[in-house]
Amino acid sequence: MIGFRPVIAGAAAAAALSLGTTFVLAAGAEPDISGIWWATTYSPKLLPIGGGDPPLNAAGKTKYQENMAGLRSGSIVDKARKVCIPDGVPRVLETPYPFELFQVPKGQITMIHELNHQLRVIALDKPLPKLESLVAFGNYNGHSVGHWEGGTLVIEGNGYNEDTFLDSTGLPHSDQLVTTERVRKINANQLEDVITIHDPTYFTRDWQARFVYNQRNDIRMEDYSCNDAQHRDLSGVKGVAEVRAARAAGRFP
Amino acid sequence: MKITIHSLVLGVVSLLAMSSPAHVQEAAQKASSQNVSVPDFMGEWVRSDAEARYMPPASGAGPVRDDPKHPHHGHREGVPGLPDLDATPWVADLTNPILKPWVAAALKKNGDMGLAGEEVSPPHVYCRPSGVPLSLALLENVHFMQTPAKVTLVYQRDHQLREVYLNVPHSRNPQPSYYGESVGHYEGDTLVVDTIAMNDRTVTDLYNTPHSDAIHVIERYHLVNDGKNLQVDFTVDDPKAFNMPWSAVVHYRRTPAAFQEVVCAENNIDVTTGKLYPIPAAAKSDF
Repeated sequence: MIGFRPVIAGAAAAAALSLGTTFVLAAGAEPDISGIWWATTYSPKLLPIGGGDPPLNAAGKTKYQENMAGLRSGSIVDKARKVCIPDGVPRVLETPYPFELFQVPKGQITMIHELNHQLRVIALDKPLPKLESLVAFGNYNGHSVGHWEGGTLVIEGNGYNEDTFLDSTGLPHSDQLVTTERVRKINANQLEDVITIHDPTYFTRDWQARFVYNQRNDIRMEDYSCNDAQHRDLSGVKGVAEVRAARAAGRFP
Repeated sequence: MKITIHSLVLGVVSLLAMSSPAHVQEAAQKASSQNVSVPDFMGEWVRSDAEARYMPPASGAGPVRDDPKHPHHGHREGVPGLPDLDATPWVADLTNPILKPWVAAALKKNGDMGLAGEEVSPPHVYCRPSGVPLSLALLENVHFMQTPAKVTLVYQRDHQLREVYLNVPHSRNPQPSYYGESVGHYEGDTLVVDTIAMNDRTVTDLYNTPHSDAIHVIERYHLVNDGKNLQVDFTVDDPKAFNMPWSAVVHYRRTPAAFQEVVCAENNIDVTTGKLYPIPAAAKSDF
């Protein structure tokens, strides 16, 4: 971790930490969640809120087994890691790389993830297109719209293609996936994203997962080029070393 | 054509100085209670010069241009009133005085390969970052975002991200990277961007002109034509590759095209041949 620690308390510290991309918006404007955010932990497996396993239905269980077996044997390629296509939502939320969130220009939220320079453009206060109209035009990271409910940014997403997994273990989704994210600051320096997964093709009910990111306006976003020998040092993100060891030992595809 | 940016009022500058990296300190020192009017570049732009060429400057040393015997033109098909054309290769005029011998030799080889029908393409065709100034030659949109501390350019081509840190000096020892380190400031209606610390894995232009890791690029962005166009005057200085600094001009126009997910690794078809370009592939997952 880079050694930027606030030595000043309260509002001044918050202002200092968010200085990098913050500017004072007009009165009544949206809350400021802009800046660089970085998870402190990494789990390749999506962890449902409340514990346990994701509520897969019979078709989902079959598909998940197929995916895991295929990833192990190599008959299924994890394209997000092999050729650096986008991860899809929610997998993109669990990566151990930072992302930057922009609140300009007005009416638009943009998220750029360092990993594979993935882009999410979220139009504010626009209706979400009907799923049927988007299925033929699926994006990896879907189509998203958002609106503010007090201090919480609510992002609705659909129109996902079927070329991604929900997580790095091969958890499946269909093109019927609809996501709802509730994004808010839980304190001056942390952002929370609680996502609801709705995909009746593979799950018995809607379920949720939660991600927390630290504000890191002390770092800069870096270039990312697929298969370069050097990328950002992830050793400060808990869980990365364990997954790398598991892969090296052949315990994880 | 102006936007007003309200900077933070900060009384914590001296405290910040004790704990934060140089660029944060600098930004804090520059922050003031005054509103600063800056030109409004925000939104979508696309190159408006034919074939995204670099245009020569009004005077002085200029960019690599076509060999007059082998003018380049792109693929053309189905344009009413015009015959269909296959693209011709980018063959450089080797008499340009800017070229160091090794760069001229590399361009000679590129031109010969192109004329022989062999593949010579800049890195973005293979889903690699472009660096500067090659990013100015991308045909796809660029998306501008402006905040008090930085200007962010997202090139639609593979969503390449480039950030310009405002009102701060360059770092003491920036690590070389594709896009290097860009710092900038506004001079009236002009955004001036200074970029160093680029690696030598990108090229300078569509002729695949090589450059070294000593390349230093200064870009000056300003609105012209009543804000309908964005003009960039830029200067390239690379004493290892070029005999002298040279300058060029490019123009953009605003475009209604959406800023959206477009994935290079799935859109890498050569429109002239229909063949797929190879894309970078990782041997194994990193995490």
